[in-house]
Amino acid sequence: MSISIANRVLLGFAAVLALMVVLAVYALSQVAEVKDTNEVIVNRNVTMLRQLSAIQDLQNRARATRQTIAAQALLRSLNRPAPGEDPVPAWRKDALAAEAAMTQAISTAENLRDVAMTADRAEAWRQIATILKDADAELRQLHAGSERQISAAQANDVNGVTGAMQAIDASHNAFGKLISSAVDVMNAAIMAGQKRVNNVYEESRTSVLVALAIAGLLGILIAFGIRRSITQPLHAFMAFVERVGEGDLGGRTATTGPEEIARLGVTLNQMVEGLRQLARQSREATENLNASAAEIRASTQEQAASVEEQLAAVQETAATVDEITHAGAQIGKRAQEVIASAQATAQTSNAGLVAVDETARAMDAIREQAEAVAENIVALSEKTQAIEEITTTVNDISERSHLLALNAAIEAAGAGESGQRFAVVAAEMKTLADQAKEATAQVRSILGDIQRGINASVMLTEEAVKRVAAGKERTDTTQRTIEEITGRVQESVQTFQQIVASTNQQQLGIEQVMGALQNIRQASQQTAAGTRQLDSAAANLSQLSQQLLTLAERYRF
Amino acid sequence: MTDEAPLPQSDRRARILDERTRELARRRIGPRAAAAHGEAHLVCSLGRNHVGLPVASVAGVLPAKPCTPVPGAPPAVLGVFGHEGRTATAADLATALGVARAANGDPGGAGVFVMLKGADPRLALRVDSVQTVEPLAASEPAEAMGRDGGSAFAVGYAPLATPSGPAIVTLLDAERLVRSLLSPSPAPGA
Repeated sequence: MSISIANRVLLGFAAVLALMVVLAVYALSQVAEVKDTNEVIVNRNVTMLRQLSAIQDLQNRARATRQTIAAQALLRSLNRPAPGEDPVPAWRKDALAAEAAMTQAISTAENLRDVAMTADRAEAWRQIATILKDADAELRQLHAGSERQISAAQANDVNGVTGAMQAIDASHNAFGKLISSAVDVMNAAIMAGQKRVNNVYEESRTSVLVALAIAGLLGILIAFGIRRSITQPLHAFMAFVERVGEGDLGGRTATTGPEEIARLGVTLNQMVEGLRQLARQSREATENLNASAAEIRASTQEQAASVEEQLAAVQETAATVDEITHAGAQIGKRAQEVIASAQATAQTSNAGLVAVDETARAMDAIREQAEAVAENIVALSEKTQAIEEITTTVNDISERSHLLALNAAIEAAGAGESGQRFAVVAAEMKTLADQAKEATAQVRSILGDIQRGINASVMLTEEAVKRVAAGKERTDTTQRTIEEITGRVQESVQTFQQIVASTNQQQLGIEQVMGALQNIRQASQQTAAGTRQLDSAAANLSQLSQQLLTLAERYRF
Repeated sequence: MTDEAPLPQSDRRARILDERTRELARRRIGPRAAAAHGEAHLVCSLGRNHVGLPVASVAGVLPAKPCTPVPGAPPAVLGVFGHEGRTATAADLATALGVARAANGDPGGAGVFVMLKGADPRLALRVDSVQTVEPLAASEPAEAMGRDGGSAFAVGYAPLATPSGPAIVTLLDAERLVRSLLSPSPAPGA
């Protein structure tokens, strides 16, 4: 069939709609019937009841008026006349009206009996008519009695009034009983009517149900037919979509059949194609996400490690700063000790300087003495030089004499015999010369000794002077050294005082450093906490991306 | 000077000086030993050696004078000098005899000239010092000592008692000395 699905559905709906309409119409007609029956019965009931009630009202009014008349009569008899108009006409009107109403009610009952819907109703109307007839008779009797009472009243017959009361009351009671029995029968009629209505209702209900069943069956058949014509092609689609739902995005579906089916096939193919692309992109994105999450994880772990290192470094630094603080305190203490000892050293140096001064003065005295000795020795040496020169002259003389003596000996030897005495003289001269030479040699040697002694003395004196000079130098050196030491010690004292001051500053600085370290440690801890959070978030991200990946792998293409 | 000997005490020093003075003043009158032995020689010293020159050939002694060198002379000749108005030739006896001059002694001293007789011009021999005139006799002839440079002019050897101990005096032949020193030397290149 090439009718489109929509048309098929429309046709089916139209058929069902037609069935529904027919059914509705039928049902409505049945409902109208029921309503009519109900209305009729109710109307009749109401009419009758109204009439009965009217009768009762009229009668009660009449009774009331009658009683008023009686009362007035009694009052009049007591010489208390009641104001107001005369109620007798009113009573008569009411009584007549009551009778008319009764008559009407009887006729109504009889009519209704004739047109009664059911036999029960007819029976009830008949009973009512009968009762009403009895009641009518009773009413007339009552009215007659009332008439008598009224005329008695009008005649101001108190006894007659009171005497008639009993009969009236009996009649009234009988009338009332009849009326009430009529009402009871009325109730029965009502019940019968209700039953009739129920019956009618049930009949119509049954018929409507039957029609409904037929229509339902027809509709089901139509629906089945349309369904089959629709669901067969849809099964294929459903199978295809199921496969897609399971994750197989690789297939295509047929595109033949009615135009909706064909369009649906094409659209499904497009959709699957779109899903394929989406799944592909999603997988790629998820893989990227996974990789990025892993990178983030790695970097957060690095960061955590570095933060740990930072904390450790901060710990070490804090410990080092502590040590520095202690060392600084110790430095301060030592500096104080050194200052005290330096001051003691200064005092000692002063004493040392005094001693050195005395030593220098003593050395100066020694040097002066040595210089005096040297002067004496120099004078002695000069005298010795003079003696040496004289000795040299004498030695020269002795040499010449020696030579002269030798010459004389040679001449004497050359002269022979006559030179013998001359030879003796020459020998004597030679001896003299020799002695002089010996003496000068000895003098010279003694002079040499003296000179050597003088030299030794000079040397010793010089050495003494040198030693004194050296000692003086050393004393000067010592003095300078002591002064330098004192100066240095003073400088050291100042330096150590500066050290103490700067150590105090250092302590302040270190306290600041400690504060800054505390801040750094707190910041590091916060960073560490944040990094842990980051790490856990990255772990979550990793996990999620893993899950995404798992999800994305559901789709195969 | 590192002489550490302290000066002797004053009384000891006085005693030593007195003894020396007495020693000096004493005349040496000792026996003239061997006055008749041998001929009179003039005893000269050349370093540690003693040489004797016969008095007969000695004209006199005089202190050494500076000489003017003469080129072309034998190596022993020191030069010429003037004495008593006349020119004389001076020669170094040590060089002439081939005697090594001792290093210790008196290299600064000029020595003594011994004027010899019989030469024209006159010849003076330079010696270190002149000791005495003694009669000496050659106890050993020179030929027994062999022919060397030092004994070319020696005629003999004689013992002598000197103040510094016994010594051997080399007696020289003066004429041979003069002849060798004053003979004209061959001109170089001739």
